[in-house]
Amino acid sequence: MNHPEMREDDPQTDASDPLGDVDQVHNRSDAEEMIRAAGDHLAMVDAVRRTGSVATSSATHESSSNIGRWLPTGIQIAAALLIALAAGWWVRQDTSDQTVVATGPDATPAQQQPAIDGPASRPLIQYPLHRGQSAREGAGSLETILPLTNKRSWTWTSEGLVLTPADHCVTSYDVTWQSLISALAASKECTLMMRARFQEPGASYELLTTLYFRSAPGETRMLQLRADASQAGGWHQYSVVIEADGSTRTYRDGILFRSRTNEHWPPERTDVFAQLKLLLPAGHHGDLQPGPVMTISDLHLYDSALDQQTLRAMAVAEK
Amino acid sequence: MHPLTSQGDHAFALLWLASQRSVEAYIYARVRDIHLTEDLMQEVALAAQANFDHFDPEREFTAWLLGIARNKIADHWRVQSGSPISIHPETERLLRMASQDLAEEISERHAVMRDCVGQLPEHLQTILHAHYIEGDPLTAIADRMQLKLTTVKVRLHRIRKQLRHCMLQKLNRNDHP
Repeated sequence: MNHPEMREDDPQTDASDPLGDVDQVHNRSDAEEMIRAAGDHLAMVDAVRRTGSVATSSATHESSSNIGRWLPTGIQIAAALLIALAAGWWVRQDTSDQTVVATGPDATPAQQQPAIDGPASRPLIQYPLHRGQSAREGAGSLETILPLTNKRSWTWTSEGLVLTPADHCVTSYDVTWQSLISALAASKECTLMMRARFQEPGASYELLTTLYFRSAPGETRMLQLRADASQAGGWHQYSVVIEADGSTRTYRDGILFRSRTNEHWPPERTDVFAQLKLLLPAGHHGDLQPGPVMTISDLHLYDSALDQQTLRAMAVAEK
Repeated sequence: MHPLTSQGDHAFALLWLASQRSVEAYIYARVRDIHLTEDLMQEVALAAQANFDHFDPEREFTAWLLGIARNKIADHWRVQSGSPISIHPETERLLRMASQDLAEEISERHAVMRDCVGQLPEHLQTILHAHYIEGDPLTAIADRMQLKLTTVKVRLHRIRKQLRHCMLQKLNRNDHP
């Protein structure tokens, strides 16, 4: 087997694109080298995801990181069996409910997705955008605001939506959502909030949800909401607050547990597509990994940076 | 979409697992965006599963998936009014052929990389996580870790070098048990 080295790089450069220019592919050998480099890069990213979250924080409180959580052999065998099941399960699309919704994102007929079932009495998503030129008021349930796609199995309870490590709950990647983008681009501030309860302890910095913005040429910006899943059992309100300067703070029940700078912020007015991933589990495409089983509820998105006092008051009110 | 039998599901899953890494590498080499790669992989899987009844077992499964992937990429760029990464048809063919032939090797390298990343010291994993998972630019990582930018760059370079060395060792060991 041929084992060319991974691409050499200059230590003074970012080298964020490890593959090199596609114009440099002149023959079969070049193509093989590029495919190996692409595979290696994806493998590295996947491996880093699997290690759990490694938080580097300037926040006042931080739980210990969760590195090197490798599986014992017996569980690896069980996981391998689950992988096979998951691969088949993942690609099975439920077509039992063909109700089409078009509110929220600017869905076109080609982009409309089947709604998912859920108790109408308890809205999962609310997003009062109370500032910004294109602010929209109101609340609604998941099925009337965000047409989700690529759904797997869902378990609804009276408390919310139960997500397992295999769930990949996303809106379609090519749905335009100009009102949302315009509001956030105008405000430059944002608060993304969700209530979650972990059934078992997980990583200290578990990814809950990601909001992506994409321009037509394919440039991507993102906002991630993460949670401290190291303590399971109770409901907690998680919030990520972004100021206009990109400073980003993550709170649990209104208590700061991480701060950083989000260089992806704010979305540009020229962005076209917005996508929400409610849960992006580690090794999510075919490789089922141990991860959090959680129930989520009440996703709020504000086009303003809520202060800590407000977050605490809201957390207390929801208890 | 016609639901498959559980036997068909199982057969598909086995074939998919053997091919997914090289198909993923092909898509990433074409689009250079991990999130888009993941989305397109999901599209490929859905299309392949939906049409698995029509798959000719005499054909190479990976080649079939790569054909679907090529069409999905074309569909994506059509919706987005053109690709930011132009590619000559012959180059595209070379990448597809390489992905097909390297399916087994790419899967093996994936597993080896997992081991190698796991062996990295925690402070280096931290940089990888911040840069590749959270998408932080190196300047932000340097600020947060209270390091010079050049130090972060050198560490990232050292990580890549270490991973290269680790992979070479492990892959050679696999070749010569």
